[in-house]
Amino acid sequence: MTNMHVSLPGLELKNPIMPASGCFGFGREYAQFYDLSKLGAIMVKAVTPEMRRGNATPRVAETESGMLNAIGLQNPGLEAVMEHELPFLADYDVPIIANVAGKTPEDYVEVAAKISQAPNVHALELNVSCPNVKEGGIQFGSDQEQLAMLTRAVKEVSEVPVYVKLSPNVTDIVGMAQAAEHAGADGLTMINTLIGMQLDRRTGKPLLANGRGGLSGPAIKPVAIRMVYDVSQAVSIPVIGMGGVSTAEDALDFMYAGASAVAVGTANFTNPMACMDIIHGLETFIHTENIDIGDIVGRSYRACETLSSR
Amino acid sequence: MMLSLEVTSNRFLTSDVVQMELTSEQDLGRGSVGKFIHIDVGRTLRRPISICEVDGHSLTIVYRIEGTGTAWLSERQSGEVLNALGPLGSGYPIMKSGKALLVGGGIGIPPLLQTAKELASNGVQVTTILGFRSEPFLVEEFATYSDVHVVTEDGSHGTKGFVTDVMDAFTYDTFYSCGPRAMLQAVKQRATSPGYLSLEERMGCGVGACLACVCDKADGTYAKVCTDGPVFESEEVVL
Ligand SMILES: Cc1cc2nc3c(=O)[nH]c(=O)nc-3n(C[C@H](O)[C@H](O)[C@H](O)COP(=O)(O)OP(=O)(O)OC[C@H]3O[C@@H](n4cnc5c(N)ncnc54)[C@H](O)[C@@H]3O)c2cc1C
Ligand SMILES: Cc1cc2nc3c(=O)[nH]c(=O)nc-3n(C[C@H](O)[C@H](O)[C@H](O)COP(=O)(O)O)c2cc1C
Ligand code: FES
Repeated sequence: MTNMHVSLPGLELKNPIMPASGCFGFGREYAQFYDLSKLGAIMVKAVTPEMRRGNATPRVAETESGMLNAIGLQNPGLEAVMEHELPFLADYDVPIIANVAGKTPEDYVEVAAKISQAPNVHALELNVSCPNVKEGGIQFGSDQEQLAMLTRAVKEVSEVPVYVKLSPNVTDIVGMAQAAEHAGADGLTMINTLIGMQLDRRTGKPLLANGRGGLSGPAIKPVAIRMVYDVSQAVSIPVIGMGGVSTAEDALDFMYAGASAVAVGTANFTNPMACMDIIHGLETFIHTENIDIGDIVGRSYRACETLSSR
Repeated sequence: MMLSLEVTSNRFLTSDVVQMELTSEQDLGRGSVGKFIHIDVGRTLRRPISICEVDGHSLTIVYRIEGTGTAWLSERQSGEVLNALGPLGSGYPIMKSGKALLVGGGIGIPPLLQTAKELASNGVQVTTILGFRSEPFLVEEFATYSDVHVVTEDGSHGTKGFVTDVMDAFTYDTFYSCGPRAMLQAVKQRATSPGYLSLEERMGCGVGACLACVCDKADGTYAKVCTDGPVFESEEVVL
């Protein structure tokens, strides 16, 4: 049998594939399609201290080879998630990565302290990169000092390793990654969505009620690959890569670029079996090439190094 | 849940409304009235389309060409196979007796056909008001199961005006409505009894995971159109 096991801070993954936050709810919906225990991990929807209603509709729009969303972090709030959502997932043998969000550093600290105590939460993912809310989110993810301060504060209270989710909407992604690393982040997840806009051809008005939204799907993959490639060489903590992954080949590209594991977002909407198909594809690849899953991580930059040192 | 649907026919009912007949490997049978299927059209997002008629392994959808996805659907030939999820959502509860009023507007009309059929087979007395901008479709099909009244905005067919202009002429125990939001608002206001509304909202996943498709409920909470709806009790939702 092919060994797809990947070891990351706090996470023993059966395989490196997991659904991305916000694209899988709290797992219930996709449990109708397959056994969630087959996933490497599950990154659940963002959680804030109080229930959040999110933005007005329409909240999604299709673009050429991608989609825009402006959900606005709608979630039932920390208490409801702890009481009603996480216990459902405890029936599955799969580590949970809880996505933590808020308006203020205190919000993050509150959610992190409590949710990291849930028995099946193995890691936190700090959502400092949501482009769709006015307060919090992106403001922490685009300023190195604020990012470091927030990471430190959360590290102090968290019972489990902390991954920081980087935003692509910055000029210096490597600087942000290093700031998170120096502040004690155990890993990075990247990328979140790119801020975009789509207009109605008849009226010229934005298609989303919110005007702007986060671009995801195949359209963003080259941007994500470049960022994972740059960041993974500049830090010594692991990177979980994402952005436009819909096939095993896409996942492989991210691992070549330096990602130790790969998350799948929008592709779940197109194909509810996307994660399963990708796991099988990757397994076949590893088996035919007769290599270890770890061998492929960072292959592209190792290849480039050999080229330049010649 | 995952459906392989073979196209058996695809024909234009008007200049931009197309009726597609499909066969499914799975028996979709009863219980699908008012539900929808989420069709892979080879793009990032699937397209939600209501089930118009369903009988065991065969189903019919009727759609209006709006953009790239529905244009792609209109080009499918017999024998081609579509990938769809469904039947999704919760549909119309079918009453057992009494009088029902069906009010459909434009491309909201198709899901009411199976509704009319099942109501009629229960012995319910069915009256249907069909509103169009100009070109009617499916009128004869509705006439098989109900007493039909056609309304057009331009007056080219039936009565000139809106569906609500003729609603007052009928008595009924329950109404069933699907159409543009403004029409649903007017119907709800005009109705003399409680009833059911079928809502439309932009969708991402279609299965309740992405929270794209929410609508406001009267109790201040949110509902998801894809899983809690698309059919709601008229008093349950705020339009
Ligand atoms: C529950 C439900 C049932 C529906 N039933 C029918 C039906 O029986 N017949 C029919 O003709 N139409 C129906 N619609 C509307 C239909 O889904 C849209 O017309 C269709 O998605 C347009 O796709 P397009 O690619 O042609 O248009 P585009 O404008 O190219 O689509 C771009 C994006 O917008 C979305 N979109 C555009 N219009 C709508 C809309 N009105 N509602 C939801 N999403 C939209 C598309 O899904 C896509 O993601 C239904 C919608 C819902 C939510
Ligand atoms: C509908 C939707 C909702 C999302 N919600 C969240 C969220 O709650 N928290 C978060 O960190 N990222 C969220 N994201 C971002 C994704 O987790 C992911 O980073 C991004 O979509 C890129 O991956 P993809 O191209 O595979 O979708 C959301 C994305 C989408 C499309
Ligand atoms: S479309 Fe995703 S929740 Fe309804």
